[in-house]
Amino acid sequence: MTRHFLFGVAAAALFAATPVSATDYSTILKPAKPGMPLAHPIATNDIPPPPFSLIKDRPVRPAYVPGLPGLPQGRAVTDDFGRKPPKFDGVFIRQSRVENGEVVIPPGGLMYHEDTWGGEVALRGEQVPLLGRMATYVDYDMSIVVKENVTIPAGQSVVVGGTVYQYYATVGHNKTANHTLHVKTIAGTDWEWAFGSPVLSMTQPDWWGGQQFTQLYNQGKASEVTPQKTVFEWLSGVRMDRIVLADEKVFAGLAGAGEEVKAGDRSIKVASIDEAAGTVNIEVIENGNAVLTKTLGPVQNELLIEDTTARKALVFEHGDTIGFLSPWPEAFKDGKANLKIYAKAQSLRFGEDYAGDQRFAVYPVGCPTGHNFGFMLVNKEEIRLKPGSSVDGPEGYFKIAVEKVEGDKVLAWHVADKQGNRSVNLGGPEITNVDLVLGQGRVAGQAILKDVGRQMLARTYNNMQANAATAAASQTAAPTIATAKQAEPQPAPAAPLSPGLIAAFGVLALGVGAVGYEFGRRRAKS
Amino acid sequence: MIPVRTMTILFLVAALGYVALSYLTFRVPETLEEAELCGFIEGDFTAAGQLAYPPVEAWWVSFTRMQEYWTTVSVGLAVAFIGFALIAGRRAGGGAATGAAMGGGVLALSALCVSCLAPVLSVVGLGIAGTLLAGVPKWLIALNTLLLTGWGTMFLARRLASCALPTRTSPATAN
Repeated sequence: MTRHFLFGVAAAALFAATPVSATDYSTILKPAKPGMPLAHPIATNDIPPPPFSLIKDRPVRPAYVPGLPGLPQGRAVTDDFGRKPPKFDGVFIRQSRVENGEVVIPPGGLMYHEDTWGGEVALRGEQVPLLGRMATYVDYDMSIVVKENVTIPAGQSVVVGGTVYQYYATVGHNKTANHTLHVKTIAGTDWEWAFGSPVLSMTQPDWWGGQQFTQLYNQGKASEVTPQKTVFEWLSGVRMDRIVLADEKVFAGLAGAGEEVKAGDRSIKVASIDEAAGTVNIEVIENGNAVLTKTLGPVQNELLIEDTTARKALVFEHGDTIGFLSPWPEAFKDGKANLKIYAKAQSLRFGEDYAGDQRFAVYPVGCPTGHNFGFMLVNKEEIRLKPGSSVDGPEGYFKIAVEKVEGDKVLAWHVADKQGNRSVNLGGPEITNVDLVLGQGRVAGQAILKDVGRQMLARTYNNMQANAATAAASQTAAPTIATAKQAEPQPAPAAPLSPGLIAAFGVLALGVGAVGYEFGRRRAKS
Repeated sequence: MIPVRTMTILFLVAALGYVALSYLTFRVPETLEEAELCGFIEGDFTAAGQLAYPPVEAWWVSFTRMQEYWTTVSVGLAVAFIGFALIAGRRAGGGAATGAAMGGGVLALSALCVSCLAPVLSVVGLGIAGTLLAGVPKWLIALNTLLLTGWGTMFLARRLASCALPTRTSPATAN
């Protein structure tokens, strides 16, 4: 209970504690163009972000593991329209330490991250890996959180919704200066690659956008921007409140009035179709009773897929059944409606327990345009690992094992996948934690390198060197004692002369000789 | 006498045919692993995980990065030589010319075995040849093909010249 409380306090402390304002920010935030509605509603509640979302809480001198067979990288998945976005498994450990001979990972310190190279888009049948199995990403709820009177000291960061703002740099010019923000997700996805970085300035009005910035629905208005701090009158950030993943597709195609589709114990009936109005009435029937009736449509092509109202007009949901009127390639044909229906759907809700493993809380990661960028699963309770013990990741998808601790040093530990494939020994005589970056996705392979890449490289090299020195010393001291088998750097092998290459050079010599012979004969004759 | 014009035409037809075949059999890779086999790198993919090139450009990028122009040269040389050997064989009645023609065919196949068409060849059991030649650079295969077909052409031309054979005449002109 205490740990739960600490988890909540730690999470809440990250969140700027100002209450949601009475101001109607839906009239203040800028849409993409005049007349276009905001795609996401303004949030009416605060939900604490996961612990360690701030930049200062990144892993410290972490070990790096590029991947394991059971934690695949760059795995292409499919959607219903031929797109094949790569997916990445990520594992992170933050703020771990050694205490009384045990390794301690605080609540929120262990994070699994389903990462993606491109945004996950609803209504397109995109497959999303869910701890080794594939589910279909169907729909989502995103909101815009607005905080007032937010101060970001230079170099530090704050969380607004699911968005992290870091006051990154000040650059002077004569007596003027500009100030740059880095905008990231709670998982660490840096939006610089997609949207650039907002730059504010009170003294260079003709170079930048002044004291206000707009990065889709991440927007803000500063009252003070100095090299010491930025103070925002208000600051908005998107939060992915829920994503819906379904395990089973039960129907995809044209359905006429009167047709019924079975989805587990329910059936979905097409009650009527009004093609002229662009609508279809569906009924969800349980035990002979209609428990849900809904009119789907009409399709508002100009606002799909991200606009919440336009999208929700096409979607119905009841229990673990979800479906929608698919606008592509066309919503209606020959008097029938183009429906997609899924069963065994589950919601991953921001900050709630992960149903598959209650030890973990889940946080979907949102892109401000309205796409999903994977999800995080973080441990709710502190993890303590004695030498020789291990902890399973969510649903046992991976394992963190500590083998040997001496004083405040972790001499041997590793990460392993579900099949038992282990990383090399990540410990060593200079290692004082089990902080980890595993993966090659948008966060582990890209964004986080900006924050901890230098440390990570230095740690990797130094640890290799220290382990090699330790191994050499132990061999000298006790040559009869077998040392633990470790992966050691091997000298790069010289390019071998393959049999094929040897044969090819032989043929070359033969050819030169033969041609020379022919020339010789001709010269002799002439 | 070397039929230069015929061999040139055969070379061009075979080379262009190979280029066309390469284009027709090219499939835009869908995964990073597939892409690497075709000469692409991670930077060739967009943020959305799709190859940044349209199909024709993607093929050309793969063609040049995989140095398929060497394979084109090898196939052209081998086919031109096969043509010459068959012409010579028709006039000489087989023997060395037939062997030379077969040699040319082997050269063409060896070039194909390390080309981007190699995966197709594995269907007909020729993948093992590609494995043996996997470490051989394509320029070396092209150079060997040039030397061997050059030698074969000179050899057959010498044979034809040293034992002048009557040209085949049709029954109509025999009268």
